[in-house]
Amino acid sequence: MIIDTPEVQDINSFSRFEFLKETYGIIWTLIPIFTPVLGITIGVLVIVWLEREISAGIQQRIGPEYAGPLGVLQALADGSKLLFKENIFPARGETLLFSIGPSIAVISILVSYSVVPFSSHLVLVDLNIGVFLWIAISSIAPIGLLMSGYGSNNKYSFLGGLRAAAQSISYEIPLTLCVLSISLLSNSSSTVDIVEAQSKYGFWGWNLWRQPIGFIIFLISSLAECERLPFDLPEAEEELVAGYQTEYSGIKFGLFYVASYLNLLVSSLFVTVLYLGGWNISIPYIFVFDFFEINKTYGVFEPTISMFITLAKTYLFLFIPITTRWTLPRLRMDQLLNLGWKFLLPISLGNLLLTTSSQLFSL
Amino acid sequence: MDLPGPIHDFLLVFLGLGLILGGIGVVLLNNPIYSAFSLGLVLVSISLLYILSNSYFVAAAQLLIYVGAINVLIIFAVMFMNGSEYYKDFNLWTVGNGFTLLICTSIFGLLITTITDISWYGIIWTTRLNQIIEHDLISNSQQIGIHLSTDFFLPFEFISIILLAALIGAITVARQ
Repeated sequence: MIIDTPEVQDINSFSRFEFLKETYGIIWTLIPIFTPVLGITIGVLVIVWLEREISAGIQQRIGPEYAGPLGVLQALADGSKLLFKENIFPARGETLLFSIGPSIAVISILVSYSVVPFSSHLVLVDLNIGVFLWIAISSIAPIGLLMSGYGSNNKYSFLGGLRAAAQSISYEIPLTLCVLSISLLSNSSSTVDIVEAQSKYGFWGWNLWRQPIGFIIFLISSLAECERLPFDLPEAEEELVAGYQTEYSGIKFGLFYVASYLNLLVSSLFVTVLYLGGWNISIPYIFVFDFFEINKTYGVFEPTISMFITLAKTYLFLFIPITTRWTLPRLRMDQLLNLGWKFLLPISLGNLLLTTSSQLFSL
Repeated sequence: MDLPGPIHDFLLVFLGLGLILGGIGVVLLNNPIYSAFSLGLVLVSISLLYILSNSYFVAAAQLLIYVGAINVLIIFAVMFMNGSEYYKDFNLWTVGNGFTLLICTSIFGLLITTITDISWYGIIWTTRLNQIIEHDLISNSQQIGIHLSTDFFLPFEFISIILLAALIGAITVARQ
């Protein structure tokens, strides 16, 4: 049997070309997924560094200084140390639940980054339920905490997990009501529409001025959702050793650490989007595009500027949670639940009622 | 989500497997904690199925209500039970179990016969026509709002009154 060799080679090269094309297709679908993950990780490292530096400033210490210039690589060093540490499983604990718990906590927070807009076109998915998706997904995280608390076979962990679930359930309701009044004001719950509704009057068009009560409630309940210090009862050191993280070591402990900072970053991004005008420059009489004389519709310049503005607002806002953490003492558990159910919930309901009636009268 | 065919089918099979395995796990697992967590798996895969069929609002509501609230409460309740005694003397074949098996198989057979009897193409075409009539400019959640405040106004009000009564009842129980 004689086969014409050049023809076979042609076919081979053609199939290889097809294969390459498919690989390129897969790579092009994966790049938009992995770039935000990389960016978010860098953002978390920046927050950890900021927290160390600011806390050092507040307590009149020096803070990290050896790892890299100004200690910027300190978080990376901590992370790699955690990666190399031994994974210890508690005796007679439920190993499966113990392993799945931290990953559920991280994944549920990572997914909610998909609706955060960095520019009018720089958003993973522009759903018409945008903010609602964030609320829904962040309600899964307590399941992971309950899992890890139960799987550790430790009373302290179990109590910590129960406390975390109770806290995040009770503070989610005022948070949702605040988001609901914002979406009433901008007639949409898509994050892109919410930012565009605030773009009219520059600095004075922010939702912060139209919803001052809502902003304060959102701030308090997002701190409680992130389990940051005035509300860090699930891991209160004096009572519960370390709460649901007591038995964890190595990278699983690191995952909890990452999850709390991811949650902090996403909630301050949502503060920026919902209350602080998102990607708009917000200073009247300064038009960046006239200044640089660059066509607005062309190129990557506009998304870059928008992303820079969003991130600048977010990190400036982050100073408030971080300084709060190192200033205020911790609440007691009954004080926490009383604050949530008897104070924040009625006030946010009243805020929603006021917003609804003003929207009705303005029709 | 408008995905290309093979990926859509793959996700459908994957989520369906999660649904079925989770459902079997709820029934068959000995430890009630594991049953509660696999109920969570079932609810999450139902909501992902909703996302796959382009109804994001229902998916988010499913996640928020069933996974975030109801399943967490179930897990709470199960965790406070003293689980170890519960599944030591576990007998699979009692009279009650046989009765439940009978009811479940009859419901299953009924569902199968109804599913095969319905002409699905007719339903698909009527919904497509309705979608064209209700023009695409209005988003999905707005359509839900319009329907709730026109066609389903009475049930909506009834449900809100029932919820209000339950809320007040919960407050009075909690204050004692």
